[in-house]
Amino acid sequence: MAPSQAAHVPTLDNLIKSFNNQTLEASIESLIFLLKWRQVKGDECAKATAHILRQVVAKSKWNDVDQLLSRIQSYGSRLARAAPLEPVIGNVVRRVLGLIRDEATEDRNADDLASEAASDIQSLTPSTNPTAHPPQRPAPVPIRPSPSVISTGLQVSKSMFNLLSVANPGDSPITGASTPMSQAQPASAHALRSEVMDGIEEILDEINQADDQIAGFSEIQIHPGDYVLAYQPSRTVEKFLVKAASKRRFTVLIASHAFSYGTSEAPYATLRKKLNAAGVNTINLASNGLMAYIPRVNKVIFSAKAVYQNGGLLVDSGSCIAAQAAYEYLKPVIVLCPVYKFCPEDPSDEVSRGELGNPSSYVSYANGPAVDALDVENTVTDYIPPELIDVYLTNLGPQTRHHLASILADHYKTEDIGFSLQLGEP
Amino acid sequence: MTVVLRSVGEQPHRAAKARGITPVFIVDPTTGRCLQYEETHPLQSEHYLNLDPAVFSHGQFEIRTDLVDCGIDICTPDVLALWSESFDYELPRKNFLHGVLKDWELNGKMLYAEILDDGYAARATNLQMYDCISRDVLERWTLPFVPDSNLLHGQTYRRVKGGSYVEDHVVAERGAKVTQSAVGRGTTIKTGSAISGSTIGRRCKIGKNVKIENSYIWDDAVIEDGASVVHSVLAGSVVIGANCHVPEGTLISYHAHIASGVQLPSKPPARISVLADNKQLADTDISLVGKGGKGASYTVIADEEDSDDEDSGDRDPAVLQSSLIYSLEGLNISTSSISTLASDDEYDSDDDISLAGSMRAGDFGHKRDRLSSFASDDAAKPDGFHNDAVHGLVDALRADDSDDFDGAKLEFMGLRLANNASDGAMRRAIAVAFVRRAAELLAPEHGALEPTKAAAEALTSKNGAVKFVREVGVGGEGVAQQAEFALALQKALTAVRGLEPGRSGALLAALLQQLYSLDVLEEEGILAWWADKRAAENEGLDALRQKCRVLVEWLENADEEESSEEEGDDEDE
Repeated sequence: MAPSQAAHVPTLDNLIKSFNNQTLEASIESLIFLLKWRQVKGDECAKATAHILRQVVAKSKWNDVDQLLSRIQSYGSRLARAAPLEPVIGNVVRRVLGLIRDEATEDRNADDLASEAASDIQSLTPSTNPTAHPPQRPAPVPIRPSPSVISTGLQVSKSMFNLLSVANPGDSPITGASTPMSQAQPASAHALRSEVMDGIEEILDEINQADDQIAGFSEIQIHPGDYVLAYQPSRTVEKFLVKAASKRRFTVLIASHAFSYGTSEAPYATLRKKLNAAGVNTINLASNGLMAYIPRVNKVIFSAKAVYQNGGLLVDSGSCIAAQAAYEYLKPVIVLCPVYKFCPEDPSDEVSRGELGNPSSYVSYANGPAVDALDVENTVTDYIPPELIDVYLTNLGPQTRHHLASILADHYKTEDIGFSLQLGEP
Repeated sequence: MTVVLRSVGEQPHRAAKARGITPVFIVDPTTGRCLQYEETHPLQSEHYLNLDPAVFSHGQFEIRTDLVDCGIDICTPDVLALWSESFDYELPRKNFLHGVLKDWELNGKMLYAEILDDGYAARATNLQMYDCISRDVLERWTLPFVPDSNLLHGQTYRRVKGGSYVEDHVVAERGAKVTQSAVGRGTTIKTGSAISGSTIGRRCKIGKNVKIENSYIWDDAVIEDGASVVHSVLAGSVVIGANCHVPEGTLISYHAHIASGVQLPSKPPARISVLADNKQLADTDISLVGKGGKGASYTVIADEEDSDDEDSGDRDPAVLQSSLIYSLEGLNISTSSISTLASDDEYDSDDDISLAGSMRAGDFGHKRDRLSSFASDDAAKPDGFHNDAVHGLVDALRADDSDDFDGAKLEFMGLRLANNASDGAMRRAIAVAFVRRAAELLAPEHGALEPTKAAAEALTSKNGAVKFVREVGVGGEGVAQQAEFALALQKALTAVRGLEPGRSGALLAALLQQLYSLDVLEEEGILAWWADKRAAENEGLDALRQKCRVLVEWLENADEEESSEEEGDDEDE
């Protein structure tokens, strides 16, 4: 794509600004449009999704948690479908869903605590089960119902059910958990709205700060005198290297695949200037010459578009060669990936096959005979199997493959893991 | 206005080849200003273009034929004004762009060309371009305009193995092979079928062991077991019976039905429609579509423009992807979404010959134009020059208000140059013109003059007429030319209607005598005519000739006298 073309289309920043004076539906449509046209991609997707979901919470009509959850789910799935190869969209939607569930639970717990305070000690219900209160009963309840009422079969079974669902949500069906929440007070909807919006702000902050946080770990990872191979350094990797350069003296080998047609400018010129200014030497490599340098290299660094729960990565094409080469020479491979890029799902068939780009990166359209004779497949994404990766450097610190599950468990609700499976018909 | 163009290099891709008409842009590379626009195509009679001399006043210019014009212009509001001023501009390129650049002095509007070297640009102006662009889409040259972007609402294309794009709810049975194709929702493909390089619409039913290659099959089509379709376009709801063969280049329009086992002709490929050219239901042609089939061969009532296209088709293997395809009733409706130029093509086919003539006037000079306007005047004589010249001269001789013949002479010479007329043709035209005028003067309504007076009046009433006859009509000093002119006069007289033979003979004698006395014809010339066998080859001519006997005899005597005089003169010297 010509850079000149990008200048004329609405960019993400303009889009986010326009959210305030557009209707919600128009905002969603324009974001979907940009996603389909691939004008918004990579890290921007996460930001855009968070922004638009905040609009959904702020602008759409909802009276209780269930309605809000279903709104977020339906809008989120539309966005995720628009860009099936941008898994971060799904991640942000899951984070927001989890956030809403947390807030709703807190609210209810607060209610329950209040009601508990008002309740008698003589209550036969075990005090360790605050949620065992009949949920349909509006709180605060001044007087506890008599045990005989509670012990009716229906009430008991519901209580038991809720008890299980809260204690171990993973065992309950997705709708099960939301059943008690539906009882949230309409009066508390306003409070919930602002709390959820605050929560989304936090997620946005996390997304914005993730690169800097990861860069903060650079001096631990990079040692003086290291030869670091950076494959097609993204913004995250650039920040990481520049930060490291302020503390350490090392050498960076920047590898990139064949230069695209018609660009004469040396790749990554600005990064090299910054690094050189800090006293770090840089060497440019073409990716096909990369193998020769691997024995000299101490570590390989690149960033991921997404990390799947098995530890596999979705990356820009070419990184796989670097990872494979490093694996063969037993060099450590460090992947920079903020937590919001961790997907609680396995890579799909489409991901492992890679996304196809425009063949004109390799064959000029003006070259008639070649265009007629060749089928050019320009894959722009790669899937890297987990065995090739040694360290996942997140904004929470370095992790290994074996700890990915705990990160996923910390950030996503079990109910929302199946989010992408709920993608229905358009 | 800035025209957006995509350069396609020296070895053009199929998109450039499919254009048919090659646009020629003459561009100033320093400023990007477009200086001249022309169109060429392989069928034109003249394989050259005239450069406007003004082009050379620019320091540098490029003549480029390697550009694909996607028809996107960035315009100022002035462009609309220019359009409305020139109501005869039909096509945005051939007429408008060409015209505005040509009349640059008049309009003072500069047009620019933006030539892109990357990205993708094309316009589906005909079925060949439709084919080409569809293939580019499948090969992802047009990113992000690829099926799996699902840019339109309700699309659910996914890329699957084999380079294909498949929507939801597509059932491809085990054993069916789909490669490099796009398949729409709800289509079923049964076992053993092989589809490659094709675009299949929604809700199609494709039977067992069907072979489809490089074809376009629109929504709701049914292709029964064992059929094969190669590089064809099947419109919506078409039914192809079992074991049919649809060869390359076939077009089948909406709701047509091909019965089982029919082998459609491959040369020329069939065009089948249930509607005829006049938008009425066509009578089913059973020999073509088989028993139980529906549809007939579709032909366009060819006018001149179209017959040109057909010529190109004969040479071009992909005849049915030529622009004529637009006329297909069914296709026309649907291609409107693909190509806005379809409507332009309709203009071409609907407009009559006069528009076609005027549109080409710039390319072919005035010949065609004049021809068509005079053809009705004198259908028996298709020679445009002759009729035109005789009319012009007779009008000038008749003119009462002016004694000057120079204007007529100029016009005649211009006409002669424009038509590259031969000396013989000129002589004939002049002879006929003067004879007509002289014959007219014999008639009662013009004064019923005597033949001698009429001849004198016709030749001498206008200044310069005699000189004109001498220089142009006779066209030389030679005896042969003079004899030819006399013969032309004689023949012209036989063709004059409403004149009795005796009087016309007298007129011929009078004319010859007058010309002799005016020194246009010399006695050698007249005698040579007299001796010429052609002057007596039929009765009419001979009768006229006999009337001149007196003159000839007198001339022979005079000759003797003169020669003796000359001898005397010589002696004097």
